[in-house]
Amino acid sequence: MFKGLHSEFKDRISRLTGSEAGLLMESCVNPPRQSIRVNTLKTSVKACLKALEPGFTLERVPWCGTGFYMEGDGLSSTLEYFLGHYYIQDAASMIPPEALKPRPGELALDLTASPGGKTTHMAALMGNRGLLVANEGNHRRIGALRFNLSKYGILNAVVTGIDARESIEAGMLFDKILLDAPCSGEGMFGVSRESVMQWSAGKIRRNSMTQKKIMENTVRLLAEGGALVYSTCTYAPEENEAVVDTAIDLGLTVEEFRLDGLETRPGIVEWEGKVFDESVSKCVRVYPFINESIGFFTAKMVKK
Amino acid sequence: MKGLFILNSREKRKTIKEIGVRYGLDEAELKDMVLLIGEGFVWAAGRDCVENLRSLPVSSLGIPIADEKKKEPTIHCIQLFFNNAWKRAVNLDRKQAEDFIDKKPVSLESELSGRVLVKNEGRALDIGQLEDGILRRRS
Repeated sequence: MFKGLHSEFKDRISRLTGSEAGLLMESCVNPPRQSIRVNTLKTSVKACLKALEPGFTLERVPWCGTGFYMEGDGLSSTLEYFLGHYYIQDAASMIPPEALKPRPGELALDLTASPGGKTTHMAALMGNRGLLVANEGNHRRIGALRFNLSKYGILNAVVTGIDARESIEAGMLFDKILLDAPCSGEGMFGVSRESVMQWSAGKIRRNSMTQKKIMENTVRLLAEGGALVYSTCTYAPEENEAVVDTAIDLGLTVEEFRLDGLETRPGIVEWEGKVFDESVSKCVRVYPFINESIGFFTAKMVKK
Repeated sequence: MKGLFILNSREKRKTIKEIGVRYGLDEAELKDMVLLIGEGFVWAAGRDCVENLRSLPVSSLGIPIADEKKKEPTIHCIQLFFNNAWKRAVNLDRKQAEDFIDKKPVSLESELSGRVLVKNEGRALDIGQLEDGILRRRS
């Protein structure tokens, strides 16, 4: 059963999720529901739904007022898509910006921004006001980011190409930071065979070290009273709670957040003999078989 | 962004006119924007975005709204700021609009020829080239 999944991965998932392991592994071989987010910088939810409803079935994503599951063929070939009225985005990817809640006029940073789904969501929440720094350290991915920021009418963003693994000299502190870290992508197994094929325990260890380094650099950029959301699309605790534990050591406090209709599992406080700060239980684990999304992890932290 | 400079109010007004007067663009559409020149484009960005930049080494800022020399508006500029523009505009029904964005030629009865502003239900789609009753996407 669950052919193609690495035996070590299956063993880890069994230890991590216990009685829910079968459901989770089943989701690794099935794609999630298609969903979109309406771009309120160019249209209204009402107008967009009116235009799409003749050809598509739409159902609201409970935790995002502008998010909709969308059933039908040709999501990316409609007039409205051409006009940048909606972004095709997994429902779980809408969680970090909704948890972060950047407001108009704030200074915000999306540290790993390409291709721009969460960045454009943040810009919409900011009403195109304030400053949104969209950083992408991989220069080959900057073109896609710049295109999407233009297509979705983002006027308050600047694009930077800083490698987040290096020391970052921004010359400013941010009110809101999103760190959607590069990860092993276990939560994407249902949509990406490449993630399945590339999985290895060694990769998880290497990712964890990189993520902790990026976290160290990121915490320094957060203003007093500011908030940082850390997210990945993987289940590995080394890439999730262990990285949040590093942020706690650096002085951040984990804050509980709730989004309407989002059913989650708590962060785990112990993994393979390592005990994390108990506040990591306030992090949220999003499993595909509950929310019809990809698998996801999100933590909200504040600098007090 | 190396070599990027902000247009003053006089230069801004002149540039907006060059970009949009042909299509009846209302200058007010861009009144809250800062316009900048660099990398061969005119860029539009929010005012607080530019004011907060300080020493950050940026790769781009806001969106490119026109090429610097010809002042031909980009597709993203058209879709963001030209919904209320009205001169040299042709209106397509949904089927025609879908063909237009698919880069198929669209037959159209119109006295216009040359560059036209293409719209669907009041929404600006792009600039098209209209010759002898056939409308095509610009290349």
